Amino acid sequence: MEIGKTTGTTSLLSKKVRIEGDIQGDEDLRVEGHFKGTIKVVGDIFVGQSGVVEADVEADNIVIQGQITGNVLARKQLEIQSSGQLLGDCKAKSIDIREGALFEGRSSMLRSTVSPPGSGAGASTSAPSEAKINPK
Amino acid sequence: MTLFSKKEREEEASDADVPTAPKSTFQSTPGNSPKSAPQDRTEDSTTFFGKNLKITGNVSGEGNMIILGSFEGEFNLKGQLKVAQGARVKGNFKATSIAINGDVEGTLTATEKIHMDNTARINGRIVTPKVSILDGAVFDGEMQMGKRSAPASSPAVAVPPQTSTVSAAAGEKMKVPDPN
Repeated sequence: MEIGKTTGTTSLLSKKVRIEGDIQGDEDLRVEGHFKGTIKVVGDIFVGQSGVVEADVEADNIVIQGQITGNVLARKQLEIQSSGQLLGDCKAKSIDIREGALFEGRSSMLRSTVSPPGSGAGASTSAPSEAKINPK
Repeated sequence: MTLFSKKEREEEASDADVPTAPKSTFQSTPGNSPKSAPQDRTEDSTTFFGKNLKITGNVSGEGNMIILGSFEGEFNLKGQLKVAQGARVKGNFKATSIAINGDVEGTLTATEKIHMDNTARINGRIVTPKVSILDGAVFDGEMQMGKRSAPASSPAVAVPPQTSTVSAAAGEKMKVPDPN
């Protein structure tokens, strides 16, 4: 159940709450409810067991215990735990998929030369991966 | 009591049966999603959006919610909404009770009560049966506390515009030459 660390505040979308729209910002977010739309944060996303996310997600670390339908970009690590489901493409610097997890989609790795969005864009010409999720 | 016997039979039939199954037959609410098993209640307590989050869209559901960041859109919640100090929200808000310490623009509808703290700034319309406003709160807009269904403009209250502009202009003229 641990998200790993507790840096500052973690926003929470609790069970029985449903949001359709966009979430942006720099903060950690834990989703236990239902979200549809797009999430783009500088921070970590944790989708709890009751969490259902139908969205393109962009974050530093992404941990999935519930389910995500949509494309996922983890600037650092993507972790799909054994109860987790990811239906969609993923792009991450490192991926950790536990036994029992469900993943349907394409996976591609971010090369280590890729820096956070906005800074040092010209550093890597060989790496095609930008800090953006390609739409299907 | 048929339920009880059925439950017992189910338990006899399979020891490894999911314990949530009898409960779902007892409740039998079709709206419940099958995944909402009764787990620890601490998890689903309060939705919390930190001050660095910006949310646009529709929020619905039940539970309590605290907004510290910015929100824009439609909001419909069974529970308490708190707009914290520093938060900026815009749109249509419906909740059981609403407490405001931040900036609000739009319509607020509470089925129970609305509380405006001394840091609140509200621009819009408020519909609630009970209200409390602390000294220091800023409220520009319209308040409705009765059962009046149509939000018709009330011409009886409206001040004749000419008089007000004249008095305002006079007040400014008076102020300008004042050396203080």
